[in-house]
Amino acid sequence: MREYELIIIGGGSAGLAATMGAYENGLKDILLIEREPELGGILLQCIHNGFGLHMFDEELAGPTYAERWINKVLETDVEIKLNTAVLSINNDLTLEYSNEDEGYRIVKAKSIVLAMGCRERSRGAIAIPGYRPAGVLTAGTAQKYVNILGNEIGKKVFILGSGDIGLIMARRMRLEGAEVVGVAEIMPYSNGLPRNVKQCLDDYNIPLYLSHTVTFIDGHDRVNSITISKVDDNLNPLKGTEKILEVDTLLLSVGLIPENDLSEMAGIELEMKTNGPIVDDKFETSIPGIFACGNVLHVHDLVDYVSKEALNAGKSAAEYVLKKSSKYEYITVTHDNNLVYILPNKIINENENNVELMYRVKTPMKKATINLICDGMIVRSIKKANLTPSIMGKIMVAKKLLKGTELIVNIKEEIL
Amino acid sequence: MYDYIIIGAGINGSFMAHELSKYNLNVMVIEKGPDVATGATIANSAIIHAGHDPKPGTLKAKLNVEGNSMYPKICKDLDADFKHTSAFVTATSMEESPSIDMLYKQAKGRNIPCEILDKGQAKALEPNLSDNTVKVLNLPSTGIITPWEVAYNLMEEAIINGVELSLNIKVLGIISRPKTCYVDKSQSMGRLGYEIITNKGTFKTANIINAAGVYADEIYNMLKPKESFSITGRKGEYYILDKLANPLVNRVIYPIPSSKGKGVLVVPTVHGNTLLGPSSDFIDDKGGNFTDTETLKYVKAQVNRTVKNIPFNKVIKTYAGLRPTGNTGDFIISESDEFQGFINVAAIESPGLASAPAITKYVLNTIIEKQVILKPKKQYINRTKLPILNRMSLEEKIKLWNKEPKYGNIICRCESISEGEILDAIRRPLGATTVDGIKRRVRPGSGRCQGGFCQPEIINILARELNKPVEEIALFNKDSNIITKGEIN
Amino acid sequence: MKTELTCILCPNSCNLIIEHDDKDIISISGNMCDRGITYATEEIKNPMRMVTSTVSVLGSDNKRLPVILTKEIPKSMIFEVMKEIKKTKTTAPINQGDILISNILNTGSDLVASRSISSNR
Repeated sequence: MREYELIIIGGGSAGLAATMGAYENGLKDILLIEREPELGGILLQCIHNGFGLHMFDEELAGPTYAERWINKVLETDVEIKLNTAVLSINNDLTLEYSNEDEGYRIVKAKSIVLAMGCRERSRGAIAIPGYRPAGVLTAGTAQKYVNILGNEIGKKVFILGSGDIGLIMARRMRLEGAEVVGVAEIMPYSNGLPRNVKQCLDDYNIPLYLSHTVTFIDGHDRVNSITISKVDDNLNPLKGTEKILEVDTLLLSVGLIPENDLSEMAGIELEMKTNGPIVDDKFETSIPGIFACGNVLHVHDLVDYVSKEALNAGKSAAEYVLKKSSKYEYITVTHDNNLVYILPNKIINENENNVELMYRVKTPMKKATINLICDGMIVRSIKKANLTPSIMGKIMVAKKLLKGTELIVNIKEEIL
Repeated sequence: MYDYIIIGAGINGSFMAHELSKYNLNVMVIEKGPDVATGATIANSAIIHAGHDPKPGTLKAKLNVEGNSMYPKICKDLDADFKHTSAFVTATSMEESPSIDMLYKQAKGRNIPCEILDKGQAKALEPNLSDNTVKVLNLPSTGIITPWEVAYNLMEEAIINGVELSLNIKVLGIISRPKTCYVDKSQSMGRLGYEIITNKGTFKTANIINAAGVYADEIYNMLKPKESFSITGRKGEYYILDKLANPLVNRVIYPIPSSKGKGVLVVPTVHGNTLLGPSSDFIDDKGGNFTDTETLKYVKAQVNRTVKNIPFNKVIKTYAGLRPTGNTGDFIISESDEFQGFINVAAIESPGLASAPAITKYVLNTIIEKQVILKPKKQYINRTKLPILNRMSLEEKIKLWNKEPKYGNIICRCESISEGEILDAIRRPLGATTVDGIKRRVRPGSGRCQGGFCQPEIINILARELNKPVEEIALFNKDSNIITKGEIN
Repeated sequence: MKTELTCILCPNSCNLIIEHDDKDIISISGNMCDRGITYATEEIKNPMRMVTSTVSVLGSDNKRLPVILTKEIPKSMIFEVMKEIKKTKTTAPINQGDILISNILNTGSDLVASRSISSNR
């Protein structure tokens, strides 16, 4: 059975950077597996710009950013398998893949990096009531039809969800000649960047219905109308506020879910709050030698941070294979209810090096203080401004500040 | 001139077509939808009930028990899934406890294997049963199937053996004629014949089998009979849960039944999903298979009474189906007194699915054998089994791939389905022509991404195989195209 | 007249209130820094925007080529620019950065390929 030093599952932003992280740190026998016909992942369909500000100091289109990384990888001699699906991973680091050229194969690895990305939450998962006609698509799937395949998927569109994907698709559909009737957002604030609200909605006079959701989809064959309703403070639809809009298309931008069915198959422990694997600050999961990075670990907003994280994960995989890890002592990381999650879940206890904590707040906070508490004492206090759930926060901490076996992170909003 | 025209290609129409295909008869099936199985057959609980709860003396009771015993062999012969999951009827209060005893007695009286379990015994087998569980009736003869799979395989075999299937045909009227109007090709003697007027022409037949689901009364009433029946849609709404690392339940879990029906259930599916439902509400609009917030809330509340730890964050879909509920309280299976040769197979609500093979047997034995002389065909061709790769060993998969490399190209990642299997689903005699047709034959679109990743590929494959532009590929019904224009400028 | 804008230059997202007439800006308030003034002035007098889209490709398994402008163009010209883009087709192979339309509609901006596409994979 062929054994690789490292197998990377997924050739998108995370997989590409993880490849470089591992390669540049000494691993050469690397296999990169990608199920699409090309490398690049979701970036290939993100034709808008805004990528690369941190990594390259430029605002690139998604495919351009991807090509930079693809070219780096192609300059190495790592083995790349395209059009190849991984069917299972086992806890002994064997995995089964298949493609048209080779059929079904089992291979082994000394280390694995999970970089499978995420999937979109579907209509069914949020149980939008109504009929089940054609014309209901998740925004990312619509983006694939329009940007990769060049298909038109509707003429009169409504979008549920004001996250960046929904906003970007509102503009895209408008530019391709569709009438975009509106965007509904269940929260009282938009989930996307203010720049996108401006340049995707305001610029085109597309109304944004905050505190609204879709409560009925009508149409036996194709969508012929949707009903939107205002919601109360508990996000429940308010009777009597229904508005029927005649549209033929409903796009959904209602959340992304890390794609961990392979991880679960291998027996990797997942974190409920991220839907991704539990990891330490080397991005190692609960199975030694298996690392995770990118959207499969937690959903990111900036691809630059995905690349940075993945470079680290690749580096960790290389260190694992070449040095064979020693037994570590860990500091567990927990947080209060104001944070949705914090990563990593545990930190290797050592006196040197830094650790970058990544978190998301539950509700927007204009001004807040984040406290890092060890052994009942605040070891560091950081003031933050303009925190919002849709933007991942990061804190770099020197490990020598951390004491004991537990780090508690809490956040207090400053009431102005 | 046909000997039999079957109106409706649901589970009963399919069983009837399959049975009649064994004999030298001219048979056609007319279906208004775009595929076999479009009504209640694709929107039910998929359970082959033991037969413990239908009222004594009804056809429901008799045919359910009989159907339950027929399914394992039928599924084996058709290469369709059948799983003897067993079922628990659970009492979650002391007041409900006597119902368990009553159902036990009733089951015993029908020779249905059954036993009573106490809370401890039941929870040892099903740890997620509600902590309020007081007493449980175990029904090991209960099974689960994929209803449309059985319908497809039955109808396909019928087609291979000469039955004609006409889809997208709506019956507009039926006229009865004395037999002497027609050139005698049928073996029936001195009886009425029929003309079925449809949107695609008129068809002549000696006999009609009305298996038209919720519309069966409207079909029969086209003849303006002096005595008739009525069918009302009774809606049931469901949640589907994703496959779980640890199954929620292994058995079908029933609450105590009520006048509304069997109640809201927790049901494992053959593919590893879990169904939660159905509700039960009469509805005027026979096309009204939409879900609504209130009812879905009700379903949630009800299942929480019998089972705990239900992971609602793992819901991947909701759907609704309409049961064809008749006004007599039982199945309506009989030849019309007024219109000879017109056979109603109507009001087949629960336990319709479980009873279906027995219904066909009953129609054959009590009606058809009296109408015609049945001459079995000398040669019967069985349908070709199709491979399902995610159930095969590595060696078997490699062997298949060697014959056809497209079995190695995975299209649906959630369910591990290859292009080869999708092509089989299109190229088989009862091939898929729609996106949902593919979904129901081979799974892409049923998984956790609900087609988010694979749907564009599926459309392209269908367009290529059927030689149609992508904008003509439908989700299911005729005007349900997904792509509105194949190529933007 | 009064226009309200959310400044997008930094996470403060200041709510800017601009008093202006058809030609000139009379006053700007709500900004926490000077960059906000520049932003508000531009947005009122001459808002500029980036446009990205795709064009049809022949000779490759890739059906569409993502394209981008080299410079922002006036917001008022977005749909005109889109019309020009939609008239454009191209053939593989293409290199990232290749110019498809030079100085589109005299804006000083070129339309270029966002990625490379090779001929029939």
